[in-house]
Amino acid sequence: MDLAAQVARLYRARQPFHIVGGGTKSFLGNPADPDLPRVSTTNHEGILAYEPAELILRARAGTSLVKINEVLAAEGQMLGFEPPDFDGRATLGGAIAAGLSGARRPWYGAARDFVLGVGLITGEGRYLEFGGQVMKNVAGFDVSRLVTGALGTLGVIADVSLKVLPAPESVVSLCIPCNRQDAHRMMLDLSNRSIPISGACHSDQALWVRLSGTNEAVEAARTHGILAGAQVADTPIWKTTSNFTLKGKTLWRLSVPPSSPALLDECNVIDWGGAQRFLADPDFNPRHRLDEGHATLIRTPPAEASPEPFAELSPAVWKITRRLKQAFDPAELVNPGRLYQGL
Amino acid sequence: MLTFLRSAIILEIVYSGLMQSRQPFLADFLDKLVNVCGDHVIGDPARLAVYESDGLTAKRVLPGVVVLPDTIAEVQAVIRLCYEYNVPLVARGAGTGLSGGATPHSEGVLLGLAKFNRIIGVDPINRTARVEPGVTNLAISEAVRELGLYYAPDPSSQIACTIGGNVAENSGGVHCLKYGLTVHNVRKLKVISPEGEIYEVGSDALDSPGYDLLSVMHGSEGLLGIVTEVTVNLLPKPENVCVVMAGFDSVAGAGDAVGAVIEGGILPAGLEMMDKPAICAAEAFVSAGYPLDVEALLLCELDGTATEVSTQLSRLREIFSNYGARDVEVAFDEAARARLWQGRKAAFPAVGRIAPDYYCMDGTIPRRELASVLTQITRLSQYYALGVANVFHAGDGNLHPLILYDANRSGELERAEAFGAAILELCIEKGGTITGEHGVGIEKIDQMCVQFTEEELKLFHGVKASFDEKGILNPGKAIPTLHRCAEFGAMHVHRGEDKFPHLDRF
Repeated sequence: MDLAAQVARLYRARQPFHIVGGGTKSFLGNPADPDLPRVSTTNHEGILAYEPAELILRARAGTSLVKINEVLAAEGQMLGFEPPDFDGRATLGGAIAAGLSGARRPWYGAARDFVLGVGLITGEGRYLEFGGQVMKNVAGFDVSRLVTGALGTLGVIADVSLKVLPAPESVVSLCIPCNRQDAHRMMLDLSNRSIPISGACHSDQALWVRLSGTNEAVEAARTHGILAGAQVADTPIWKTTSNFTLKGKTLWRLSVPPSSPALLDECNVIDWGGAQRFLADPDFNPRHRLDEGHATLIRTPPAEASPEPFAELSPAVWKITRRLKQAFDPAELVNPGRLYQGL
Repeated sequence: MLTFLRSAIILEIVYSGLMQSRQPFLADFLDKLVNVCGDHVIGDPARLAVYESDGLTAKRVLPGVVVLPDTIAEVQAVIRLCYEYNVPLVARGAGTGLSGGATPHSEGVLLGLAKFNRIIGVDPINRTARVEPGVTNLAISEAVRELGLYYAPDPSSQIACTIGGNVAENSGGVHCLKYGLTVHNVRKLKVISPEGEIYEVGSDALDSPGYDLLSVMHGSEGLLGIVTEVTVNLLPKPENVCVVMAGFDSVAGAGDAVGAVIEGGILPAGLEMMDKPAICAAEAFVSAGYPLDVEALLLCELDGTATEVSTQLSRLREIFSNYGARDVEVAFDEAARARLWQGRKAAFPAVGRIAPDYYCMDGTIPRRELASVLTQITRLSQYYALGVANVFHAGDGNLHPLILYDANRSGELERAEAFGAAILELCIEKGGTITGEHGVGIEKIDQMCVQFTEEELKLFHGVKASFDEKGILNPGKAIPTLHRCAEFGAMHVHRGEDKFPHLDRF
């Protein structure tokens, strides 16, 4: 049965349900209720349009990221936000619904920055189209970006149009053994320079820096100040950090301004040039120690929903959030409670 | 006592103005408004006339009353009053918008925010600036120039337009292909709800929990909230910049060259095209050194490290020569680059010199449709007997046909509007959109009925009501009522499907 018809049938029965793609992101948000039916997007797959000269790709939600990456690579292009593919099982729909972005994010942009349009099945089972397959479009409210990162609570993403980017000619990862404080200082310094940086992370007692660009630009950057003489890393860590492979443990993800001193000494991983940090300490709630930014609890395996995995919203924002949920999913059937309890 | 007297005098002025005008406000509402804002309230018709239109000058409406507050508390109080009395509220920055987003409401308050022009703080390490909504776009880059930073989006009105207006319209500019629109360059907003409550969307970090309300606020055309503070991202200035100009014997040839550049792995900072009428008008106006015997001109800006720019430049030259480019000129130093850009940046006023009036359109199309769309525009131009000059953000498919007309000749304005509407519908038919960066406002509200289905429009109304339950913010703009669409008689056209019977006449 086609996806919209399936959702419409559930709507007629007022039957709440969960959406599942590759099933790789159960660690994010509140656990899905095991007693509710699942709507799977995995058979709803395939690339609908790809125009390398237009930098635009449109694919169905169930299309695997691996497949998309292959098709793009054949044309010398890539997804700018480097979504984690979780051992090749992740789908495009899941990547957009979760809004996760990889190591390149601070310099290239997040998932939401590359979303140009979506086909969305609302909670009533209606297929609607928002945005489009052009780079610039300000007609109507930006629903495509609103559903990005909404964890499926505003409807089933059926297809997505994305802006894609030319892949760099050359990519080099460097490794500089150092402590967290020094790594943090170097990350901030590098980010403020006109060099082709595409990753800066501290993990395992070393600062890892990735350079991407033309051959000449990457070579020139390698001789730059603190990078001069740095060792080339054969097994770079970029995939592991964005795949949350510290999982197996309960993790806190901190999203902070890059220069923030918050929990610098306690974090296991400092990624995104300082802006994303991971802390593997289940008993420690870092929220009260953040002056700026927010913390997300990542549980593996998903446990009881307490506390809320995502930081609390202000009353004004919560009110708007509740109303938006009502507008998109009046019977409140889609992914109940996954993002927040009561949503 | 003095304050009371002053309020009374102002109130009388406001009243006497409003008495001469239409629909008087509830006396109670005005009393309270003047109590809160004193002489920041304008009711005198002569002074109200200053605000009767934004950049869409073809639509003029005398506002009910204008308020120009200078504190956030005052703004909050005005919003609360409007909420309490159900008075429509239209926010306005510099009034440079081209789609009528700030066209006043005859029975409403026009809230001018231009006095909020302070840069609150700059954080060079995290590369952000916190600014008030009335700060002009260019003022941000100027304020951080010494730090080697700049704010990327650069709409052509950047010398005058305000950042608050940029957020409301999700403004672009010539550098969006590489650096994105306003939504890609803003980290956080402080917003006042219609109920008068202040809240934040986005954060100082790179993301925030919950729904992406930051994105929805961008391009919402003042329908969802009043922005009182904007935290923008700043970028390090590129080490090296060069501009390449190339002439082509056909628009299609230039279009193919653009495709080849992007397919060749080059992402230029800017990639602009002009057709012959636009080239001639610009050259006559500013003497940029453009060749006059070509059918299309490309301007391509490359930026990055010195090595990156030089590698990309040699590739670009090769691609351009493969596609038959001539009169190629490369400019590195700032003065020479500025000269090449000047013609493009002055294209609108330049066209203004060759016709008494012009009407600027803003459709976006998939770039592969360029040649076919321009051919159709030429045919439409013959049909409506009005000239047209085309400037084009070629890299991202955003087309700005400038329709030439003379408002003093009877029927020409109406013909220009019909011509414009036909172009927009053509854009939808080709799989594009009715507005790339200027917004819907009141100008393109009827074409919204063509671009979206009834159900899609209903959901937009649902989004609007989620932020503004009473519907007091900028009513009648951006999203048409279903009733209006029924009256307009437009049928939704599914993207990409050719079914425009009335276009077959050409």
